[in-house]
Amino acid sequence: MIYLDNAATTWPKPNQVTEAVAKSMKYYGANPGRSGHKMAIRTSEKVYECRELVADFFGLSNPANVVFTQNSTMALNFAIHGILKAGDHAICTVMDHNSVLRPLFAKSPDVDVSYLGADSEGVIDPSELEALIRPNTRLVAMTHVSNVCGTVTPVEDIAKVCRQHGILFLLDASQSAGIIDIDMQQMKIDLLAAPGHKALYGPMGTGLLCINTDFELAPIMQGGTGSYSKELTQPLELPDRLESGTLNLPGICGLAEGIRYINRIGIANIREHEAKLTAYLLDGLSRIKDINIIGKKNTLGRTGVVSFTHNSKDCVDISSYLSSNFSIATRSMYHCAYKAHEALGTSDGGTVRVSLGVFNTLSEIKILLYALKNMM
Amino acid sequence: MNNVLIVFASATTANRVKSVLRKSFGIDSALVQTPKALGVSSGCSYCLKMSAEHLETAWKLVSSNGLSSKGAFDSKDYRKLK
Ligand SMILES: Cc1ncc(COP(=O)(O)O)c(C=O)c1O
Repeated sequence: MIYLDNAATTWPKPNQVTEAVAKSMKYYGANPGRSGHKMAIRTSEKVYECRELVADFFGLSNPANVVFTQNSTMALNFAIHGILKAGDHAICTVMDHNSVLRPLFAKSPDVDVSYLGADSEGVIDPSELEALIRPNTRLVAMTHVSNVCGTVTPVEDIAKVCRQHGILFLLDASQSAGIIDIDMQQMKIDLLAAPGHKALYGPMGTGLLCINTDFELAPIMQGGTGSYSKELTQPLELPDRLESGTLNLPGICGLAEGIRYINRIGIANIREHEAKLTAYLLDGLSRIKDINIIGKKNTLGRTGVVSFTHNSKDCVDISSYLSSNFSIATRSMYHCAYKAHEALGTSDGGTVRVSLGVFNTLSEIKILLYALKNMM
Repeated sequence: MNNVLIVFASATTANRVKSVLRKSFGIDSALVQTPKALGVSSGCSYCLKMSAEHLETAWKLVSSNGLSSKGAFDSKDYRKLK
């Protein structure tokens, strides 16, 4: 199989990740932070080890501000619902995923939402942000990299404006964590949501909310934390404030190894590898009759998430042709980001999305291009 | 030499202090559940057990970083030390 659906979740995972998951079931089988026996203590130390790795990875000084979630969507919901109150105003962009758009929409009409526009390549102009800011703007939330066309958001420019106005900045790093170097302190990112299962190469069922602000998020879920058990109120301390219930220990052990894997290879090397393949792919696609690349046509300001349309063929048919005839996995339609398609001019039918990962090779891209060239 | 117990409400804070003590000061400590007899826990908390000679360093780390601790105790007679 040629797996080109890494934006949905990466596959395969590095061997060390699969091995860590299996090992965790054997040696870290107790509930962390609950009991006092040896395996429970060992397991809680393992969880903390992963918090430290994540904090180092994203330039966060306090590992206790790393909250484990099931996925990026849960992390985004924790942040959005935990911050916004009735009467607040929030800003996001038309390039955002439904994991940002829907929780924001769900707050309406109590919370007003404004959308920053994008051009036909998915590029956001940070200078347009100021005009949307109101006295009651509490949160700016946006994706770092478009999951439709791979366009990168100028995060530092946006974050600077947010800091100047005292507005919290939430970055959806679902398509960038593990691909673009992120230092939350340097880049002035207050909150970062990331999936563990995409380019951090952890298992599905893992996600992260990293908190780089003193703002006290209201928990949207309450329950057992293994701390302050006599009290009926949710503990205020992080991560317990937001982390109720038993953690996904096998997932967390796998995620730790995914991060170690990236650290060993180096983000810059991963980016370079994916950029080489992306350049080859974009060049090849641009030579195929009737295929239109959506978004940026070269590798500047983009990652290895590449979308295209065909002048006469339906994108679902293209994906199914690739799967049935060549065992090539791609994704078609709207990718949970319809507003992005409106901006990109693909709202009528969506796109075929090819998304690269660290294990893809040039020969796989060549087979894809061959398959597309010979499509009847 | 006696051991001391420094009590924390959350396992994460206890693990954080344990990690910094090891990495920055070369001090080993063990994570244990807080004995009920200490009478300070509002339920299910954890403490770090270490040699009494490290108490000052550890306590300074806790207080200078604003970490929430419920105190430091002698591990045998549970006398409050901090
Ligand atoms: C930009 C973006 N945000 C959020 C998500 C949601 O991620 P998860 O599936 O981990 O909840 C995705 C998933 O594809 C995404 O691409």
